[in-house]
Amino acid sequence: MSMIEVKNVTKRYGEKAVVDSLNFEVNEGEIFGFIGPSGSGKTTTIRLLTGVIRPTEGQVRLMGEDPSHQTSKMREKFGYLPQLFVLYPNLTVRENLNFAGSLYGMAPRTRGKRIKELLGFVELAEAANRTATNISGGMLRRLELAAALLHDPPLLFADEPTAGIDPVLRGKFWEEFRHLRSMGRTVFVTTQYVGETEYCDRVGIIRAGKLLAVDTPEGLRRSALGGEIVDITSDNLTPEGVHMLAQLPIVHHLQTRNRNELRAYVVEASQAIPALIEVLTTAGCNVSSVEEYKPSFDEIFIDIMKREDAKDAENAANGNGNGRGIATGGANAGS
Amino acid sequence: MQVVKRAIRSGAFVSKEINEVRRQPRLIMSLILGPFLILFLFGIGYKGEATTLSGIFVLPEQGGFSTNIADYQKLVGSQLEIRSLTTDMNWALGQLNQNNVELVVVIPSDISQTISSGAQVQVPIFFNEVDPLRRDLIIYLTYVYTNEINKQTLAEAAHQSQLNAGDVRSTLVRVRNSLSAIEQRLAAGDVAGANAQAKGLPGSISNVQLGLVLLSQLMASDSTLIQQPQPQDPNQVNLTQGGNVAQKLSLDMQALSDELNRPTPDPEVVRQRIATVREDVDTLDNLTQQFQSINPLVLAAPFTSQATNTASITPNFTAYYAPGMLVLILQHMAVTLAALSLVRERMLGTVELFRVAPIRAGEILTGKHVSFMALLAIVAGALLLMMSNEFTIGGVHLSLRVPILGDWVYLVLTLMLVAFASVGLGFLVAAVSKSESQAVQLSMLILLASVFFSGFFLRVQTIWEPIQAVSYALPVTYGIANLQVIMLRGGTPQPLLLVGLAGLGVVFTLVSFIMLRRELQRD
Repeated sequence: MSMIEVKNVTKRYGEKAVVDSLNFEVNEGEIFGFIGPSGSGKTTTIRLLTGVIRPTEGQVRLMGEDPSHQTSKMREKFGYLPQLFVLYPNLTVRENLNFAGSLYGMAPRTRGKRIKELLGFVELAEAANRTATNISGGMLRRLELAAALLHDPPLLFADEPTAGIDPVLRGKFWEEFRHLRSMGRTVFVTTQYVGETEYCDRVGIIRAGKLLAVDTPEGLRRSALGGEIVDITSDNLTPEGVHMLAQLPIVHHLQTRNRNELRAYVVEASQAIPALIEVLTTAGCNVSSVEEYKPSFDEIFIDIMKREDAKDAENAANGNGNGRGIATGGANAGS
Repeated sequence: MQVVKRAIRSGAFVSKEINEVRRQPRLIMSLILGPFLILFLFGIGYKGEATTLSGIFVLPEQGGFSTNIADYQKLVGSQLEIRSLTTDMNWALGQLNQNNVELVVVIPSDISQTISSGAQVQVPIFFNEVDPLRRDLIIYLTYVYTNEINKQTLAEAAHQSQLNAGDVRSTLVRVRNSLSAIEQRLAAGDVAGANAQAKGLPGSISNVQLGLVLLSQLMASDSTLIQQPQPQDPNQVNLTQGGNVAQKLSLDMQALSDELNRPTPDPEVVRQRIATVREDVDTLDNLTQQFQSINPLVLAAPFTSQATNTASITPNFTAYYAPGMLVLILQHMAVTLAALSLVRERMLGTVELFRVAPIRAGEILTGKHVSFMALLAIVAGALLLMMSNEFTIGGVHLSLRVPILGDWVYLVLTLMLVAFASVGLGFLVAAVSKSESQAVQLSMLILLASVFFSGFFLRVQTIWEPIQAVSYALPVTYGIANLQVIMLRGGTPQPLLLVGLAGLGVVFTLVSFIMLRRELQRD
């Protein structure tokens, strides 16, 4: 079931399109990462999804309904973790949570029970009676997470929850998101940290308001690199062996790294490796190691961005300024 | 179920606002103790508007005027303290310009000649004042001083007339003696002698006649206030009829003279005429005696006022201003708290949360309304208790003794409505403010407008009617009018003022609700 459906959504302020022709779906029970640099349109997308703003064009559906015409009941079905701390500094952690719970009409008893659970979940039980001004930045983010989850929504929007916090706490946040997923909740999370792609079930990459790719992390890696990478080491690599490898249909591209090392771009590493070894052995080469190389998502992201830049430059040279910039397969795919 | 949820959502703001204020004990102390201490200091510090002026009298260099300050001080009374007498006009004006005195009174040199020529004597008075209220007071007081001088002058003239009335009585004695002489001559058959005696009579009474005519006209002046009493005995006359009696005397004496001038005067007629003239003389003598016995000050100023205040109490300045101060502070607190509260939500970013949460604009405003009204009720209650009771703080005895004569139900109702309307006004301020400083500035402007237009210092009725719209757009105007009636007069507030206050609250809240709803839906 699709929790979120976005079809050809564009949001313009004046002539400027802040997000342009977005198309994606988010399924129930997945962590969907929305990755892009600062100012790329991530927060605008969240505001469109939560109904705070309306699209200029296109259609947004949240659990089947138009979020800009939400009923109170509908709004109780999602939680929102804003980018900045928006609770009250003079209230204690518990009072802030009580306030957040009351905003959703939670009865005092249910609220009290839920606050107790969440204080444990975000490890703030000991700080429950401290005012928000007297807790650390990390604690504030956890307090906001607890506030967003207080009414137990099936869908959580988290706008850059890990921005500006230390790596340990970032890890903790992703742990909490995975925990939510394990309970069947859907998490839509935006981030600037490309490395966090691997924690998501699927990711969308946004740049300058345009969605470049939507895929699983692995799918993204494959589509970005045109397949998978296998690094081969041989102490007597011959030109004949290299030539034979290049002739294989499963090999897209070969890159000689030095006299003894080769990098092969293949469709699928697990299937390609036996064939690569066999060809090299036949050619009389001693294969000392063959292993799949998984580049970091930072490398993949940079690669995608470079390609988009090149495409933009090409479009500009051709006099076509409206390049859509969807680089990899699956950008329009819903699943 | 939805109703319960709405109540819970509104309740979120009640507990949040109260918790936020509770965390600021200094704020609570300043909210309650601050206004009380201001009133207390005002109570012990305000001496009232000074109605005694200081002045210098500039005398003409010639004319033989007294150089004794006491003589002039006696003339103007205690409201003007004469600091010095001088003939140097420039020095006196210099003192005025240096604010050493408030008035310079210039005594003209040609008083007698001016009056003799039938003109009023103008007494130039200089003052140096920029405060319009004080300026009006000085002008009014100079009018009072001039009246006082006129009164003294008139009293002096009346006293002189009373002294002159002694001459009238002497004349009447001579008339009596002449009548006796006429009778004696007639009895002796000397008609010619009697006639000669009678010829001197009209000239003798002419000055009496003149004086009494003037007196009677004064007493029977054409004033609507003076109702001429009708004497119980028709033969009795009063001072207002003095002129008539004098005229009658003149006619009767003329008739006596005419009878004596006849070739053969009738003795019986002559005796009757003499009796009539003697009656007239007795009456006139009696009237003159009455005139002499009247206090010259009464003649100069027949009227004096005796004012009686029918109000239940006569509050002192503190007690009088206390209801206004209470309402003014309540309005200012409500406007500031409500405006800052909503603007802070915007600044903190919580409005972002409200946009995605199921809470509605009406629920936010209801919650904030309830919390601020509860807070204001506590502050108003504490202030009322402190104002109306005596207590000791740190060994210092504090007491304002502000009376609460009226019904507590109306008092509470008025304060609640003031709080309701003022919180609504605060929301409106928040709706048009982009920042906290803007909200504070607007709140201060409302406070300033309240001081000028609400009737706190200046009566609303003294403001031009179209501008009174500003007065009636402020909750404090209704609050002050109602609280003064309830607390100081023990009366019931006008229903229109209560309805107006409630209406104002509804309008403010409704407009701010529409604006907040639009903000929450803003694209």
